[in-house]
Amino acid sequence: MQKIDRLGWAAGLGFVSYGRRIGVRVNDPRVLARIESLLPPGWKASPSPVVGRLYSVFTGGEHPRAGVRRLHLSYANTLRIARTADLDAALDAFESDLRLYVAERARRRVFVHAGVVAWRGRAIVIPGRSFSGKSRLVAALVRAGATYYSDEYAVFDAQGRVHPFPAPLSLRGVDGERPTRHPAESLGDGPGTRPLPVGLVAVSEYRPGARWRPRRLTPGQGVLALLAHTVPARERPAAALAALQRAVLAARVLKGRRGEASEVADVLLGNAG
Amino acid sequence: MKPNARADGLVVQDLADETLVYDLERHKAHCLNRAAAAVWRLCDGKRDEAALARLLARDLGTAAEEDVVRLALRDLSRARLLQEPLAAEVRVSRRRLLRRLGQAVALPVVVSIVSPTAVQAATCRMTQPIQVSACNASNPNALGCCCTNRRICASLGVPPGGCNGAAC
Repeated sequence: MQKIDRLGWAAGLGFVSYGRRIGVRVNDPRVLARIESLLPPGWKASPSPVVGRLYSVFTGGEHPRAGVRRLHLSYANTLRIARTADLDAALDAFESDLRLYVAERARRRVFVHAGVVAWRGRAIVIPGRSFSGKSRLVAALVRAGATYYSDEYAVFDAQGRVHPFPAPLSLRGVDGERPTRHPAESLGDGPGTRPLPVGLVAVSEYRPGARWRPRRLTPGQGVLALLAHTVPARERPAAALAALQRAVLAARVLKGRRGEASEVADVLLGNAG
Repeated sequence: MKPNARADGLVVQDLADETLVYDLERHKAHCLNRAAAAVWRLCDGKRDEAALARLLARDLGTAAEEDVVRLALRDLSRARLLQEPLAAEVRVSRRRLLRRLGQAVALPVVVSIVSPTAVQAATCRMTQPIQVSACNASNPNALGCCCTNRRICASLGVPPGGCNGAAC
């Protein structure tokens, strides 16, 4: 840590997110505004100098000595998580690690990798891995009239209700283009604000040309389907099982392959209604 | 054969008609339907298959024969939910049993998953193909992307084996 401490830090920020105290320091104060835009939804600034995790983002660029270019670096505590000539990649690594840390260590919440929208007072939860098409489906559901809650994590409390995690909706481009981010406020009537019981869990996988003909899972199988995408599943299995069990008790759990998001969105809203 | 249900290192939670079991040692989660859960709870190391079948019939309120118990024990043994695994693989065909007994009998079902690590359950933010040099079995989360996910590897154009992750 002493070596990292000597890199020359010019500004910093302490904040609390889901009960965890986290710090970020930068060598270029201009980067701090970008850092703030990458923090998890609902973060609050904290004056406390004591943090459980400290991120250090070092901005490289041109060195005064001709012909020398310094790389951008990101650290989580003492672990280097990025060393790259692309500042966006260094910030992506910071954001990714931060989200994972919060999702894994959040107090009194269970984070499941899933998209979430609200429909008629209940949540539709779409668990799935990255690249399974969650964000596109969430975007299609919002266009069809649902309320945006999250395209990344379903955040469950101990009663099994889902809380909003309204980070900007991130849609990947084709052929490796950078994702485009759509602020939660710009989606439909804006993001939901209150916790909701779950009405439908849709375990779906995108297959070109597929028709949504799901089969119904039992509540127990539904819990397993959610647990397979639960971030603290290994760290806190009892709490995760308890929360997920309550979540699926009054919900329908459907599993199947689906085609284009726009085609299945209305059907899903019908399934949930 | 007098099987004994495993009790240590498990988190057990009951749903309406199912039982969820989390194996803290192997990080596997199991969902036992009513019949499988009933057999599992009856395994006390003193009862043989015939006794288990009698008690199972009483608990479920339907006919239950020894083959149903054997099927449950096979699944429970495979899920490592018995203290001692079955000595020999039990040869019971679920399909034949269903054909013979009809739909009236609830056959035991054990559904299992491997619990994900935090990284496996997290978001992959990769937008570019994974560089083989940046991603290997000991560093499966290079740039926030889990290389042990076959689909992610495939969708990024990494050939099988390219990531050196277990599933690639």
